[in-house]
Amino acid sequence: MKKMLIALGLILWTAAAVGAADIQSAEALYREGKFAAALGAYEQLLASYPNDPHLYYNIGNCYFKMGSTGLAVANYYRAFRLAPRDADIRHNLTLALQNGGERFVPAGMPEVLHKFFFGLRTDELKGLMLLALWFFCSLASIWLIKRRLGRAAVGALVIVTVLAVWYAWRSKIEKTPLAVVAAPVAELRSGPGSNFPASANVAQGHLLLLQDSKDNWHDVVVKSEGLQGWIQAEALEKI
Amino acid sequence: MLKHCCLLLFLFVPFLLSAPPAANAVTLTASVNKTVLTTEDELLLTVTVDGATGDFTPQLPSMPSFNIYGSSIARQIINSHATTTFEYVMLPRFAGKTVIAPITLNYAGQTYKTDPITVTVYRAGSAPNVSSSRSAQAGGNIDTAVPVPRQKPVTTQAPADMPPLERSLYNLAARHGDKDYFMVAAVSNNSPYVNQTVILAVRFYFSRLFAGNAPYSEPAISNLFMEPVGSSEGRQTISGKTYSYIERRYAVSGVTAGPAKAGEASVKYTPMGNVHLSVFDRMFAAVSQEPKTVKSNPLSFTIRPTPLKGKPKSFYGAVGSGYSISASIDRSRVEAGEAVNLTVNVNGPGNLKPTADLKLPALPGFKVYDVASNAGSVPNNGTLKSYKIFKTVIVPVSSGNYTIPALDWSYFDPTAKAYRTIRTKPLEIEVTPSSKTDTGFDFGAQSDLGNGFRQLGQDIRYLKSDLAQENTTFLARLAKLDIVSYLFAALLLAAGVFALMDKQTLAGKRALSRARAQLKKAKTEEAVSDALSVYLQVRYGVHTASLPLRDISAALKKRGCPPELIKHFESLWQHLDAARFAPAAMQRQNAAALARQAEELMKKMDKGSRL
Repeated sequence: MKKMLIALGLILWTAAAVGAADIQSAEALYREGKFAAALGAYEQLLASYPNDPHLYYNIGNCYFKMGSTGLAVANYYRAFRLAPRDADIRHNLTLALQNGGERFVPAGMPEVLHKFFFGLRTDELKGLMLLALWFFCSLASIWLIKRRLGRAAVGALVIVTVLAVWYAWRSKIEKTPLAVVAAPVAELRSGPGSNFPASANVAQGHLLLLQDSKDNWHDVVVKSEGLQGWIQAEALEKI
Repeated sequence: MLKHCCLLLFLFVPFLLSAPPAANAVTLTASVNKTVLTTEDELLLTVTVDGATGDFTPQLPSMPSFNIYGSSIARQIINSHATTTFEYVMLPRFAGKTVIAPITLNYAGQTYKTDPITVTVYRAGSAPNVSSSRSAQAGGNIDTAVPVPRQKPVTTQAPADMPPLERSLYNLAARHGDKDYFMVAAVSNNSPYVNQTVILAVRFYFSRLFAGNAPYSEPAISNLFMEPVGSSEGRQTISGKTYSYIERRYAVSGVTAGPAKAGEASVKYTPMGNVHLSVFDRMFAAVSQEPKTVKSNPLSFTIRPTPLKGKPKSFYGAVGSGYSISASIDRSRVEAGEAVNLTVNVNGPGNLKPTADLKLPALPGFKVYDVASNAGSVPNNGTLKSYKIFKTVIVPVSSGNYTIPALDWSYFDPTAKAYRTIRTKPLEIEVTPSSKTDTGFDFGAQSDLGNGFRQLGQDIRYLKSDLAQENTTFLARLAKLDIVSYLFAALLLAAGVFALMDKQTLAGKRALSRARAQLKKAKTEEAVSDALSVYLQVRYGVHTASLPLRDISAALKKRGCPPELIKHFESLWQHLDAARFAPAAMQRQNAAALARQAEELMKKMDKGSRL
C-alpha cells in the first residue's frame, strides 16, 4: 500500500512537472510572437487540465493577438466563470468585449456592485448558501426545543433567503446559452437558411443569446443591440 | 444544262481550292448500283476514297449520256482511317450502251484513276430483269496505277475491325434489307454499374428520299440518366441496296441498381416514291405520300451496384476511368479572419452530376463553410466529358503557416473492377496577424490623465505563467455536501415534531419561567399572589380572579393536579389571602418567605405534571 502511494505521488509530481515545462515553452512561443504555435501548445495542455482558468486566459490572449477577438472573448469568459475574482481575466475580458462593441459591466451598474455580484463562483455561492441554511436550521431547532435564540434564527432565515435569490440569479445567468460571433462578420438572417434575407451584419466579438436552433442555424439575440435573427453555426462560438 | 454546270462547279471548286495532305495508301474506287437499267431508272454512282484526309473531290469525266441531279458526301473515320464516299444520282438520257470514263482524283500531288464502267440503258418497258452492280478501283500513282475492277460485295456482316457498337448497329440494320425506311438502336454495354456511362446509338436508315422534315422522338427512359452527345450521318449497303442513315448518340447511366429501360425512338416521315414518275417530276416536283412512322427496338439494361468490398470513404459515386482532380486557392497569403476561396475541380468521363459532394476533412485553424458544387458535361467525340467543381470558403482564425492537406477522391474503374483514388496536391497558406488588431484598434490612446501621466494605449494583460492552483475553495467544498443539508433539515423537522408532541411540558416550563421572573421582583404578598395566579393560569388554564378557594381547588383537581399539592396550594393561598386582607389576624411572614414557598410549590406542580 505504501509503495502504491509513493508511486502515485511520483506520477502526480511528474505530471505537474511536465505541465509546468509545457506552459513555459508555450509562453516562450508567445513572447517570440508565434501566437499560433503558442495557441496549439496551450490547447494541448488544456486537454490534460480541462478546467484550468489560466489556460483559458492564455488561449484567449493568443486569439486576441491573432486578431480573433470573438474567440478571445469566448475563452476569457470561460476563464472568468472559473476564476471570477482574477483581476487580469476581468481586465482582458472587458477589453476584448470593448473591442467588439460590447460592455462587460452593464450600463448604469456600479463596477463595485458588479464585482460583488460576481465575486463568488456559483459553486462557492452555493456552499455559502448551504452554510447559512445549516446555521438557520440549528438556530430554529434550538428555538423550537428551548424557546431560545429566536431572533438569531430569524436573522439566519433572512440571510438564507438573500443567498438563495443570489444563487438562483447567478445560476440563471450561467445557464443562459451564450455565444460570441467568431467569424469576421456574421449575417443575421430572418430565417434558418441562406435563402432568407439578411437583416444585419454582426462583427466578431458581439455576445449572442441563443434562443433556438434548427439544422446548422441558431436563433440569436444580439445582446448589445437587442436584434433577433438567425446566424449560421460556423460563424459563432458557444461559450 | 445550266444546272448540270452548276453541280459540276460545286463539285470541283472545293477540290481546286483545297490543299490535300500527304498521301498514305490511298485507294480510289467507283461503282454503280446497276449496269443494266431503263431510261426511267436512277443510276447511283458511288466513288469511294479510302485513306485520304482533308478536303478533296474526285473529278468526274464528261458524261453526256446522264443527267446528275443529286450528290452527297459521307465521311467515316474508324481508328484514324478515313473513308470518304461520294454518291451521284444520275438519270440516263439515251438508250444504248454507254461508258462512264475513269474518274480521277488529284491528291497529295498524285493522280488516281478508276476503271471505266460500262452501263447498258434500255428504253422504258423493254429492259431485261437483270441488274447488277459494277465497281472499279484505282491505286498507286498516276504513272503506275493499274485499275483493278472490283465487284462491291453484298455485305450483311459487319467488318471484324469495326467497334462493337457500330458492329451491333450494322448487324441490326442488315436484318432490315427489305425495307426502305427503318430504325435500329444499340448500346455499348447493357449491364453497366450505377453511374457508369455507356453509349446508346439510334440510327434511322432510308434508301429513298422523304419529304420535308422528319420529326424525331427520343427514346423514353426509366432508371437512367440520358444526355445527347452528338449526331452523324453515313451510308451502309445492305443486300446491294445503299442506305443513308442519320445517327443520334446518347450517353446513358444507371441511377440505381436494378433493371432499366430505354424505350423506342421513332421518326415520322413522308416517303417520296419514284416509281412511275417522270424524270422531271422526280427532279423538281416529287409527290408526297401519307406520313409514316418507324420505331427502333427498345433496349433493356441491368444496372449493377458497385462492389462494397474495398469501397473507400472518399468514394462519392463516380464510375469510369481517366478522372483527374486539382485544387486551388485564390490567395496563398492572407490576414487572420480573411476569407480564402478553395476550389476543387474533378474532370473525367461520364456523368458526374449525380455524384455526392466532396467532404472536406477537418482543417485545424480554419472556419470551414459549406461546400457548394457545380457539375456539367460536354459531348466529346461521341461520348460525354464531365466536370464537377466544388467551392468553399475557409477563414483562418489565427496567424501562422498552414497546409491544406491533399484531398482524396475515389472512383470505381469498371474495366479493372477496382476502386481508384486520386488526390490533390497540398496547398500552403501563409496567414499573417490581422492588421485590425495591431493598428486599427482604438484604445482611447493619447488621453492626458492630468497628473503627469499620458496614457499611450491599452493592451491585454500578459499571460499566466503557471497553471492555476487548486481551485477548490472551502465554500466550493461545502457546495458538494448536499447530504448535510438533509441532515439539518431532518434536525429541524425533529425539533418541530418534538415541540408539538411535548406542548404541555413546554407550557409548564414557560409558566414556571414567567412566574419565577415575577417572584424575583415580588416585594409584597400581593405580588406573590399575582405570580402564583399567573402560573396557574399559564400552567393549568385556571383563572383565579374572583374565584373562591374551593372552586380553584376543584379546577386544579379536574386538571390532574395531585391532591397533596392542592392542599399545599390551599394552605399557601389562605396565607396569602390572610396577609393581604387580614394582616392583623395572621402571624406575619415576610413576602420573600412566601415567594420561596410559592416557588417550591410551582416546582412540585411542574414535576408532578410530568409523572
